Order: sequence, then C-alpha cells, then structure tokens
Amino acid sequence: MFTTTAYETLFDAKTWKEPLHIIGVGGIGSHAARIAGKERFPVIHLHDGDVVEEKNMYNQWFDDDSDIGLSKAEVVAKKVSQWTVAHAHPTYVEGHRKLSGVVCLCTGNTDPLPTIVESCVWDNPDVSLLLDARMDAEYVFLQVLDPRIEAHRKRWYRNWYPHSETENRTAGCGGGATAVGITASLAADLMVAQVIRYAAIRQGYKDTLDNHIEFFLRPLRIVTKQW
Amino acid sequence: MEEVAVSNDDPDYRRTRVQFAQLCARIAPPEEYDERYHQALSEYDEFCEKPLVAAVSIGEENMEFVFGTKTVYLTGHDNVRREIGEFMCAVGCSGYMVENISVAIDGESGYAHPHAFQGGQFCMQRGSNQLRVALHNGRLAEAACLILDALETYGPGTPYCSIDKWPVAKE
Repeated sequence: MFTTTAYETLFDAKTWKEPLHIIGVGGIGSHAARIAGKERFPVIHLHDGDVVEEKNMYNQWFDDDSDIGLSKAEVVAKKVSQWTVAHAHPTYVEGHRKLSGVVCLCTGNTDPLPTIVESCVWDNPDVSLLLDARMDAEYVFLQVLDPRIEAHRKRWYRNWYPHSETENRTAGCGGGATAVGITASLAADLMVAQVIRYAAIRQGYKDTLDNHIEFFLRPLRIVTKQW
Repeated sequence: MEEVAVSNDDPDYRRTRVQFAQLCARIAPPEEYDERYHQALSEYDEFCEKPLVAAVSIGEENMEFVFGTKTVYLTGHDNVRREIGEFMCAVGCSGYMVENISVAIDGESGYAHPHAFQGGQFCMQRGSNQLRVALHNGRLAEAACLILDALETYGPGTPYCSIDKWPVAKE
C-alpha cells in the first residue's frame, strides 16, 4: 500500500505519552536515542553500564574525545536532553527493572536478552511493544513484538542465539569490522520508524506492523514478515 | 558423505534437491513450511551453480546439508597466492561446521583456514548474525553461501593462523 500521508501526521509527539526505553546505548542504541530525541518522543530512558571507548567514535553517536571513559547512557542522555526529556540509567539490566511503554533491545551482546525479557517484559502489562535489533556490517535484523502475544514470544525465542555463536572464537582473530556506522544508523532509523508506525496505529492510523524485518545492504533488499 | 553430482539432469540431484527443500522447511517456523519448501528448491539450484561448489548431500539422518568445495585459494598481504584446500562443510538447525579435507595445518586439531579451526566454525569476517538468523529460519542455502564467502575471505590483520603456513599455489 502506498500512502501520501504527511509524515508528521503519523506521529503526534504532543499526545504520545508512552516512554521509550533503549537498552544498550552503543552502535544502534545511541543512534536510536538521537533519532527518537529529534522526533520529540516525550521521555527516553537510556540503560547501559558501559563507558565510552575510543573505538566507539567510529560507529556510535559519540564525537568528542572528552566523552571517553564516561558512561554511555549519561553522555547520550545529556545530548538528547536538548530535544526532550532523557533519563540515564548507567548500569546493565541484569534482572528486574521497572520498564514501561516501548522497549528497544540494542545490546549487541545477545546473552542478557532472555533474562531481560523474562524479568522485565513478558509478564509486564506496562510494556506494550518490544523491538530487538541486531546487525552485521551489511545486515540488519529487527523484530517487532507484541510481548503479550504468545506466538510472538515463541518467534523471538526461535531467533535468539547466544553471543558466543556470533563473536570471535578466540581472542586475536579480529576479522573485519562487524559494526559500521552507516549500518548502525540505518538499524536505528528502521527501529524508530517502527515505533512511529506503532504510535500512529495507536493514534488511529490504519497500518499493520511488520514483525520480522531483515535489511541486506549487498545486494540491496529488504524482507518483511507479519507473524 | 554420499556425494551427489551437481547437475540437474541427474536423478540423484533431483532427489537431493527435494530432500534439501524438506530439510529447510522442517527447520523453518511451522507456519512457513510451504513457502520455505518452494523457495528452497530454487535456492538449491542457485547454490549448486556456484563455481566453488563441488558436491552436495543431505547428511546426519536428513538433518543437515553437507557440501564440498573445490580448492580454495587465497592471497595474503605478500601478494602470494596460496592453496588453502578443499572443504567439507555442513549446515543445519544446530549450527555449522567446516573441515579442510586436503590441507590441514598443525594436524587434526589444527587450522582448517586462516579464520577457522579444523572441524569448527569461523571467526566470521562479516555476516555472523545473518548466518544465525538464516540457520534458525531454514535458509540453509543462504547460510551455505555465507560460509563460501567466508572461505574465500582473508583478513590479514588478525587471523587465527597466518596464511603463510599454507602452501604456495602450484599453478
């Protein structure tokens, strides 16, 4: 379906009340915070226990050497605060944490994800939408779930794999870069765009979310599925 | 491995093609069985036409796709072309495996490739998440293509084992 609806009519930040929680403020998460902040999402929570390293300048939304050594969540929250309300939670989500609204998983490391969804999302009626984004240098995988639907949860587990299956097997075998700034920003754009679609649906716009989105940069193609 | 000729005139080829599609469909989410089955048939044909592919079969009680390669050559930073070897690879719902069947460096538990241990898995240069998503969704030809791509890739910066250990190509 094609639409000529003006973009700004899809998402009314003035009436949208649900908070946005971004778990993992690295390659995808830092850019997602930037994009959501510029879209004036009313409240953005940033969760990450990591600190900024020099290597992060390449693909994450940090551009000042003076940020090195500081909390990623705090640095990004400060930058996002120029557009909207942003709260930094400078610790890893390792168990129950009070989440609500829309939750975006952007951790890179997939190992903590089952604990996060099982302790903070699945049985939490306050979370209405869950997004999970992963990426390679030329590939983005995004899942968009209604956490209250059992079939969606099953699909999420089907697509989960431990981090050890994607990381380097032995220290010293680095290979190529796995996180590229362009791809990270693209993944973040795709993710926030789905949140805007969701918000538009909640505000009465006729649309159906895609639950499984894969974006391949070479050759260029996109695959979507609705569960 | 029961090797099957990579030719669509061969009855064995057609039998393995159907087995491959069935395997992909079984791994895929149940509601996508039919769609995956039909897509896998054409993906199988495309995969078998890859120049590097030498043989294909369905192994381990029909739960994994096994493929053999022609000789892989790689060129290192010294511009010397080296013979890395012929490979036997398997992909399935439980993962994947690569084994060098012609040139093993440092013995049976050594290196299959500058970026892979013998009988093990790659330090993927790229596509590690794509590979896992493909495996979990029954897209075995896509996973196999990523492995072929990895076999023909050498990252000189930080390999498990330097390419210098492999013999210089004779041709």
